[in-house]
Amino acid sequence: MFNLTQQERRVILFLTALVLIGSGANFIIKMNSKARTIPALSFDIARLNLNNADKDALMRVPGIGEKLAQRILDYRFREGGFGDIEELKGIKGISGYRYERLKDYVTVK
Amino acid sequence: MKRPVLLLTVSFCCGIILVAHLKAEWSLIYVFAVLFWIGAAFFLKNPVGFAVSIISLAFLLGALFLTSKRILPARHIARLIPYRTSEAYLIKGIVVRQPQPRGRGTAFVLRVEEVQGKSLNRSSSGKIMVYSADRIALHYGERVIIRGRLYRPWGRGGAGQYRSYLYSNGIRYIMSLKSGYDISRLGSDSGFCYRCFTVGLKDRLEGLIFKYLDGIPAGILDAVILGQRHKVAGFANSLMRRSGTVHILVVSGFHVGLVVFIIAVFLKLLRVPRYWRFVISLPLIITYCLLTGASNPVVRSTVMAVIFITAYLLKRDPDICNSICLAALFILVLNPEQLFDVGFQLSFASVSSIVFLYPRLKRFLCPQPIKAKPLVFMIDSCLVSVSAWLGTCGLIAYHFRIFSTVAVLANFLVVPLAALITLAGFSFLAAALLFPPVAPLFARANEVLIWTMVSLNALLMRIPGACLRLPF
Repeated sequence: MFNLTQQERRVILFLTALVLIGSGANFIIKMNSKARTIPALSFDIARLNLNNADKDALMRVPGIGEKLAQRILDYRFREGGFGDIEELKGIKGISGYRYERLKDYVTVK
Repeated sequence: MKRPVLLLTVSFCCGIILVAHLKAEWSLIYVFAVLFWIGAAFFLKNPVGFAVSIISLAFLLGALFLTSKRILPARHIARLIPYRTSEAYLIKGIVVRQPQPRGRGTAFVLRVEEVQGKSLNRSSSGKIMVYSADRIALHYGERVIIRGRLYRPWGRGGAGQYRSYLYSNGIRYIMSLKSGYDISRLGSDSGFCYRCFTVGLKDRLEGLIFKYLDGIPAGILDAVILGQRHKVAGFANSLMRRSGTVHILVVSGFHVGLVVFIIAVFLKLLRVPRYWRFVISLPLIITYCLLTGASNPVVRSTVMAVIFITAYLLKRDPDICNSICLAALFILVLNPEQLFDVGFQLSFASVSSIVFLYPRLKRFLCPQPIKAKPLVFMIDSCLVSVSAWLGTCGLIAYHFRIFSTVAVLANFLVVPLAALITLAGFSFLAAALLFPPVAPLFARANEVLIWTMVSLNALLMRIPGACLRLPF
């Protein structure tokens, strides 16, 4: 059927044996893999700093349109900057619900 | 037997198909595979017994590979997170596919390393598809933390096909990011360095195409040369799909062949000996394969080209049928689910039908040799198009519900033009890299050729009944 020499057949047997052993080992590793507990991930890097963000950057945050971005900038100019994120609640147009949505996207440094 | 790989590949595929439709225990298949291996060892001196054992073993290995692929480890994200969840998760991982624009946002594939939710804080594995509402300038190999809600791909019809496509690529979850602020970039020290190099090179070449060419021709040239189909204008994509020439927009064996030809001609001009021309072209075609995203048709043609070149270097006689089968086996061993991928099926159906049907059609229609070279070229081009069309029309009708009656004529006219566009495109890129002042001239020539190709397709689509929508 296959015109193979005995040496070529031995090579095929060796390679298929490797595949079978590898598949078995792979299966055992998969079945015994465990998800280990890890330290909490920090996500501050991606938050927008309210004290130096420009209007365009503010408008890219979900829930902030052109008018609200301008009000945030006006507030920052008027008060000399944000001391805490909660100060956002004092800006017209930011209700409790909207603040809850925004607080994950912004930070004060 | 002259073509042993053919039988082994067919047997391997049958094993995959069987397991895809029947539930089978991994351990049971493994035990049978070991038994047949013992049988092959027992029949080492008996050629028939050995062949039967090895073919059966190939069948069982196909089944074993697919079953193994579908078993998810305990730390896989699909096993850690329940099917229905509205919770937001933080996921740390590596971008493993170059991010692509999607509408006004960005799409990319992330290999998960860690998952964090309200009640979950674990190391994990697996891949997820990420859609961001914003355009983000991420790169292959970057390690990031993303924040968003996870959902599983679902739906019927087109959406069901998309889910199958994602599952076959090992993607079980999709994460939607509301904005670019849902991504925290940790650095780009991860990823395969050679792949990083090819991704960087591709970005540079893409930048040159869009710098010198207008939007629509630039999108088409980007697809033809670099395989980036998402930037092709919708109307051009639709025209070419309906006329049966959409394969021009996918980097395939045709393009790899042209790349080998260009490299060979360039090295010949430099007086490089024939042997070394082939040696140098080997790493270059592998680079081109990675550059274009290593899709199934490119991998198939790259493996075939590598086999042919290696056969030449080893002074062995290459067999096209064996090389096609070896290419299929190479792809299926890496991912057995690819057997059900439309791109895989169309690629192998077209090349197999050209290899099998073209010489028979030529013998049947032109029994006497023709001396006029232009006529021979025309007949050959036509017969290759007919062979490819016959091999793929059934699959196209089944998957896309369309039947193009002008496909043969369209391919006869468009394929030579596409070859010209590819050659002109590579010349333009070489000019833009080495001697930028002439690049705008080459760019204009490319635009003329591309608009001619689009106009030809539009003209053919005006023929009544050019593309039939199938009712089933």
